[in-house]
Amino acid sequence: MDLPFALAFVLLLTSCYAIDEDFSEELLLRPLPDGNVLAHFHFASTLPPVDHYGVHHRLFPKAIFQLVRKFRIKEMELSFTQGRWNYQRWGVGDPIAQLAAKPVGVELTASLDVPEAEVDSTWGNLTHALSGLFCASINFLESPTTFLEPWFSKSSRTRYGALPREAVCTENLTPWLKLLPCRDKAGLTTLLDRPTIYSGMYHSQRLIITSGDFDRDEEGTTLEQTLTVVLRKPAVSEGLSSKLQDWTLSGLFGSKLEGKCPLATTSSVYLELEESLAKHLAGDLSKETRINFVDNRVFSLSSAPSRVLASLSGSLLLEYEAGTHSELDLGVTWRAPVDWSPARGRFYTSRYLAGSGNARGSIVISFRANDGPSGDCYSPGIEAVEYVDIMILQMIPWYVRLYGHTLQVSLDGRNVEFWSVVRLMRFTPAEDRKAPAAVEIALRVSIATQAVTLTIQYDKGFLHIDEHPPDANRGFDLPSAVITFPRCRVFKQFQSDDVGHSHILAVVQSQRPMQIYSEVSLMQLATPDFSMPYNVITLTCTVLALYFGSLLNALRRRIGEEERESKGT
Amino acid sequence: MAGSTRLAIALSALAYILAGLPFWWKLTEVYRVPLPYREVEGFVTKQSSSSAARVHCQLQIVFFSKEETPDRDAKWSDRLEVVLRATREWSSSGFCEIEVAVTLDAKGLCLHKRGGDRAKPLWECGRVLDSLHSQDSTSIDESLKNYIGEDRAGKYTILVLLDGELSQGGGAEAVVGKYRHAWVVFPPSLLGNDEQLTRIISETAGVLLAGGKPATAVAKTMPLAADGSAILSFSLLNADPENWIFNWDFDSVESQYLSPVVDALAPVARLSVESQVLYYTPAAARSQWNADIRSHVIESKDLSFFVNANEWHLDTSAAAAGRSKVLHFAIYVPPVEECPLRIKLSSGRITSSASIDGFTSPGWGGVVIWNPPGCLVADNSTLRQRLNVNDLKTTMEVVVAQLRTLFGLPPVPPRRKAPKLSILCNQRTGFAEWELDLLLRRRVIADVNSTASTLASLLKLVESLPKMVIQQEIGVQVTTSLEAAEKAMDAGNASYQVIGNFSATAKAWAEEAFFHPSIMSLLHFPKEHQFAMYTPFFVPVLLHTVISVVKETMRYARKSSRK
Repeated sequence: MDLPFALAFVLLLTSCYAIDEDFSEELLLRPLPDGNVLAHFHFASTLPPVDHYGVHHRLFPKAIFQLVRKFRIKEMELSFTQGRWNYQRWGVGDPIAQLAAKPVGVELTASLDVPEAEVDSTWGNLTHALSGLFCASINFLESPTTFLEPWFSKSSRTRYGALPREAVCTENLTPWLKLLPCRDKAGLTTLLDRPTIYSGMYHSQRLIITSGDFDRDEEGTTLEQTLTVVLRKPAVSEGLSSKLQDWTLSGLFGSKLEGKCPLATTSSVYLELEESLAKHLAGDLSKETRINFVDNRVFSLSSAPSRVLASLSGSLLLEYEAGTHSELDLGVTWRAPVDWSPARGRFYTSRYLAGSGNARGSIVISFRANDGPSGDCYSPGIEAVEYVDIMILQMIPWYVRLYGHTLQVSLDGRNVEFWSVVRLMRFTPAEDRKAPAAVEIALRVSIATQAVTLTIQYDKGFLHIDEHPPDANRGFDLPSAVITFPRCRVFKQFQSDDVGHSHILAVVQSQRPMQIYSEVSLMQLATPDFSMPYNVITLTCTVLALYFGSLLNALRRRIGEEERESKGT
Repeated sequence: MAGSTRLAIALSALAYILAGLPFWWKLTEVYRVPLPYREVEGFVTKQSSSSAARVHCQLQIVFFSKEETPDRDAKWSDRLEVVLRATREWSSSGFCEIEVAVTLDAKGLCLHKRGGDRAKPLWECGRVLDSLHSQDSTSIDESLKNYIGEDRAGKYTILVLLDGELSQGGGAEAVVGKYRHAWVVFPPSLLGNDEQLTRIISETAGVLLAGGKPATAVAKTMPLAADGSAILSFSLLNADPENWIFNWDFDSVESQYLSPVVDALAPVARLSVESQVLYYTPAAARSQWNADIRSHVIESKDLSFFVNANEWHLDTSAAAAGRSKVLHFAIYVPPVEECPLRIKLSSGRITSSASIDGFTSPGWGGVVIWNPPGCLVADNSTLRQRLNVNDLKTTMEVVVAQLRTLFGLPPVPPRRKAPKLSILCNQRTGFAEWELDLLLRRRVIADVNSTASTLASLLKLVESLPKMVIQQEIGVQVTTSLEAAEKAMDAGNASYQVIGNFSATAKAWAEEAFFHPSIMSLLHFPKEHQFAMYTPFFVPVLLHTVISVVKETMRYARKSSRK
């Protein structure tokens, strides 16, 4: 091999993966139209491939690395969520909302590089390891009634499970913070004041692992930890509009941002202004060459950004370097009442249970076209002009017995022939106490459709007395339906190509199909009287004892004789 | 008679219930596999009576002289007898069942003395030994290894070199090598002093066979999990990364310093190594500035608070599943304000001026304080440094010494003045061959002891809970464990590896049985529950039956007396 070729080869190799570990911390703040503030923390650790870098690390958490090696995790996403993402007010079709919106409770998706026969057992062990790591009852996902193999996923070694009932609190956050090199001692994490983030309207903490180590595609391992909180608007003061309140970092989190984590290569804070808000600025600034971000007609900022990124669709990202400001107390003061709307998808989705009583009912998933300005997503292909594709994944516990023949689709209120709308469907019936039912449907409807409704009827099953959870009268949670619009790509393209090391920007720029989650529904099953077995025992015993006693007396006693005897003596 | 029929009815009802009782009792029983109570009891008494399991050792003491010895045969014969007796007396406190053979190998003279009948391998007299003059101890050790030849666990040789020129200063001098032999340089001029001779030989034998400590003075347990494995978890702790951040080239450190140790200890323990670098890990103990030595000094009594459980997240997760054992080695880099940090011993002495200090905590691991060189003069600007193999050489030596301490050996081989005795250390692995044998013997004893106590307490538990289900599997595990333990105790002449395997198996199965999940989830069936279930039926029924029997008996008695 001659030298230039060898050099080129080496260059090629090194260009494929990073040569050193890397850690970055980023925070994205976004004022929401309803006056609340979205804060999205994004931490990322990357690790070069094991073959080149070895197994000893300086930044990457050992626990996660061991997890990846032991269970051969190719991809994993774990989320802990409290509260419900309000799609109408906080946005649907934008990348951050896409990342932030998760179903309430715990959701786990994992793709494992193990032989197909071992996937289920590895998944079980993984759930146990994760529940130990995060102090949560993720191990309930080991039971085959709680997870399934999604049909629409890329590989057959993927499993999906959700625990809608899991409560999320600080005991889950502390182990999550422990995975960061600076924990909550320095940098952006110092803002994470526990009472503040748990009193917010929405809280979702995630762990995303991708590892290319098992495919030999030279990608190494990436750990992304994100935390999204929607913070309540600050207490009402004498503001311009009753809706918008001025806010500062210290006002929201109780402390200013001081310095950065010394181990992070990137440490930045972004302030995102959505398209419809940025338009107000543009209108103001059409005469000027540059937008004055610090002080303009709509708002004033407490400090000037170091960089401004504008996306092609018109939204703005103001970037602040956390390290350069010795003390950063970013704040927005509103000057004029502005009204803007969040990014919206083509459809609003909701799921509800119809019917009453403890015997039967029906599940309804409905899509309602968005009547306002629709935040359009990028849709490749010509068909997308005429059609909308919708994919639904719904897992139903076994004690909800679905009737497949009752599955109906209606468009704009009229029932239509099922297969004229449904392109593909997989209906996996449940097995009692062994597997949940899974309904996976791919729909294609005309773009003019205003409402799509899917209905399926069910009978409620009976559970054994010991299968009821504590507080059985509360009801049972049905996991969210996962709804994907495969042709609708959610991403933002920035005018300047320079995204640097920023993981948030990389996520925002990557094309992903739009995915939303339905609400978690609560279903009432016939709750037994838990003292019943003992009542039955007592009653039966009493009846038998009475019967035995009278039989014995009938055999033994002679009334007349006893009377005679008592008279005789 | 009519009265007797009724009495018969009442009695038969009662008899029916009484006859049904055993059947009902049988129905309430749970499945319990029969466990070998008597065998375990026998094993426990056997194990405790012989104080320790006996592993076989052979010791041969060879008096070697190139020249003809001045003393006569008869005198030598007496002398060998004295040495034999002295060694045997001493060896009763050792870890193994010892066989001693003493030989005189001089020019034209070959005498053997044996203790015990089984002492087979005898020294082959008359082999030529190359000159040991002008060699240092390490090369003498190597030459003697080649000379002695056969080298296996449990066979030890003490070579008494009757050579006046070898001894420095004309006195007797003993050296314990890093293999399985020691040599004593004993000038022939001192041969008249039998007391000195026996003393230096038995001291040497004491070191070679038991590390110079009586068996009772050693900790009973090894820092190992039930299956004989342990994880060595190394953490580099940057107490305050605001000023300086250190990381390390642990791959090279592992291959250069740790792999030889792990390989050497393989017969004793299965060790695995992992590492991490942690930040913002202040120590929990406060230090004080000592102007005399220009250092921050921490009192030894405060060391128990040094490990900061809140901030040092040393725990391993996925690899350390179940009941595995983790030995932590924390390399602590103090913050700038606290550098250099030294330890003040309880004697009041402050440790050497070297930049490294350390302490161990039995069963937990060790802490090494690594002061960045020149930290007093360095400016406080941000320093980022990757420590390479050379930077960490001394640290790793301390770590190996700490590992020795955790396994119950002295941190460095001690030297003795009278009689003059030195011990060579194995530079590469830190553990001499005879030390590894010793550790293996200790582990075998610890394993057998723990098997006995685990099985005994398991059976006690099983006996105390008569309503607990005992599955077939537990029975098999107990039997397997017991068999392996018996084999380990009665192995006799078997190789150390085999005995070690038996004892490890015994311990692993005993623990497996003790922590069997079915025992953990004890069937919850308390007595109150049973009463509550059965009283609604049995009390009214029995009441009726008993009253009827009493009444009928009284009536029958009255009737028959009236007649």
